[in-house]
Amino acid sequence: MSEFTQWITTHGVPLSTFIYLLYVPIIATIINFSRYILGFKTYGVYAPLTLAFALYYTGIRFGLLLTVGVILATLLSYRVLRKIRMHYVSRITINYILIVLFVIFLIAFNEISPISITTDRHDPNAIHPLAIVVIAALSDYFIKKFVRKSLLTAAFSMAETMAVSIIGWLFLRYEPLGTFLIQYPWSILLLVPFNLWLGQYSGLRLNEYIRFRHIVRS
Amino acid sequence: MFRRFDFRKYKEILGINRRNQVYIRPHNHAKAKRIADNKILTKRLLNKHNISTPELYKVVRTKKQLMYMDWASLPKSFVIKPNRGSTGSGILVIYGRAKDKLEWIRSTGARLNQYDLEVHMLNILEGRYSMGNRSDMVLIEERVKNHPVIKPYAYKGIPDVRVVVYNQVPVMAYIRIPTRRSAGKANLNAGGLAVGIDISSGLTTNAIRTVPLSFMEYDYEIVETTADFAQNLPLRGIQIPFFNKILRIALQAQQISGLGFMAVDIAIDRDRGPLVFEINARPGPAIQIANMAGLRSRLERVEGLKVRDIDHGIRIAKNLFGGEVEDEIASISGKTIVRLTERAVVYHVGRTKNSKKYEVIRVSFNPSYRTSRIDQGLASRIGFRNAIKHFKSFDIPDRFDSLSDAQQFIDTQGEEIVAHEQIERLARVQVGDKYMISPVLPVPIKLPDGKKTIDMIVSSQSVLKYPAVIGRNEMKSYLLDTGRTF
Repeated sequence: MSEFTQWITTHGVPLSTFIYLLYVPIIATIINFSRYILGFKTYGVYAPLTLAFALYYTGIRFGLLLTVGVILATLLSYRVLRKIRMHYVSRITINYILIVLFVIFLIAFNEISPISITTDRHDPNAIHPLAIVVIAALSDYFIKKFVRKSLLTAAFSMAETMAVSIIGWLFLRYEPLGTFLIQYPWSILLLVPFNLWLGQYSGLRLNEYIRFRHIVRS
Repeated sequence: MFRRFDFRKYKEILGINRRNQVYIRPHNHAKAKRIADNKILTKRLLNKHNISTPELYKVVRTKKQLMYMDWASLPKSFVIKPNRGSTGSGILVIYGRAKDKLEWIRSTGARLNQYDLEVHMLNILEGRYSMGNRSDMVLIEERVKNHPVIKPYAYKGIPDVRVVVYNQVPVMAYIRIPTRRSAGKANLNAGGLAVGIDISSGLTTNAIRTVPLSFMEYDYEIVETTADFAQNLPLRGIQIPFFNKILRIALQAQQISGLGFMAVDIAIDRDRGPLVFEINARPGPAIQIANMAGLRSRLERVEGLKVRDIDHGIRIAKNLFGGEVEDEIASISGKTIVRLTERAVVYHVGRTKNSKKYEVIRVSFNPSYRTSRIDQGLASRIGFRNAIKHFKSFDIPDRFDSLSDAQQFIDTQGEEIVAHEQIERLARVQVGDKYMISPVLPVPIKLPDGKKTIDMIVSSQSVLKYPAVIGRNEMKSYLLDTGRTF
């Protein structure tokens, strides 16, 4: 443990908080890289960032089950609510009521069903409730894209957000990285030049190589 | 599989990153973008400069205005649009009104009552279809009537021509055509067609659409004909009406808008001609696929050019970017299209240490000559000096009175002259009303379709005006385009 880490942990910042905070720029960099080099369109930076942390708390299988469940519930509730004329925020609120009920039953059902998906921690009580709230809140992003663009666009963004979050989750799970961050917290500053480079990058994104393949075909 | 790909071509393509970094950010300033994103402001600005747009009937700014709206005063057909909408969402096209009732008929045939229209307009006011999700205004404007040339291609909607403009030059154009799948929207991602347009001729080239139900978000396929009609028409080779006027309007719009890199969407009305739908400060990259050409290389060729005026800009574009149609003709006929003069390379024969390997010249394609000609000086330089010396060493009369005299000379003495390994044969050349004899040499030359050896008669540049002339014997494999001069 470096001197700085020791000093910080004895001055009111718990070690776990310190590490997670250091992970934030790392995951943001992953999102940045995925956007401009790979061409993944995520729901902003906030959604994949929090989803990555949520997946870390819930475990990947349980987290993905919840995510898919929330999206299905959103689609269902949207189909029902579409027929009633009301304000946008009112619609979102009712949507949340339905989703929350759905999530509660999903967790319970998962617990009693024979093909239950266990969390990595084997104890549902150990899951931070905020993780589940974060996953439920994805519904908001999904609806917005669905209403303003199309179901297809919303689904693609959702899938790409999930993909990026899973990469983030892999980093969070990789323990040597955590020990490294405790040892050398200042190394996080190395991300600045990398992100600066990303910020200047003007080449084609990976998905554009596929998108424009017709032109290149001679 | 990769054999069919030319990966170097990726360098010619403009991706989103470069578009934003290199073109939009430095060239499109916030103030200009604000106008382009706002249909009312755009309309006002363009009309002030005498550029026609669809007529604006009504603007609804608030819910209160909507409550007190005089529905009966609306014309029979109109379009409802969000002021700050993007990608064609929120647009409702009304074709006509039911008799005696306050009911309107949509382009799809569905009937809408006052309540339906109100709901739609409320959604627009709440910013549901608008960039940035802020509250918006409703535009009620003239419904453009399709031009008869375009009409048979469009399924219940108005196609629009998009011209991408940079540095006062129209760099690329395509026309977007609504289909049954796009529900009358002329938007590629909604399922419409996009057809590339050859800038120099205004003829359409490739047509594309998005692949329905693809695993990729942007997946395109090439289509040849329309698909929604009893009689489907080929999408290639449509002559866009008013195309030059459209290019002109696009350039004017750029000047007025103050945007450096932009696109202008123009619909063609049956009665009023080209009408500007909107100007776009962030042109999407799909236009490149419809044209099967990269924007990046075109933008780089236009970069820094001093464009004097609109005509100059159009001329530059036609000379630089035209030719997709010619390429297509060339691929169908198997012939190469050439201009009256082309660059060519002649290679040296029997090279010695000191001589250059080749010489770059301008050749003229001139069908009034049968056999090709080469200037005597050039022929000497590229290694035929000995052959010409050999020819001159004979005592040949300067002029013959008739063709048969010349032929007789060739028959009697020709064999000895042709004995030189480089001289193919002797040719009789008419000069005024006399004839002369000249040697024919096999000249290795690289023309636009590749390297070959052509029999050329030695002649003098003072007669030819060019160091070499390609005659009609060789022109079977070419199509001569007299329109393009540089």
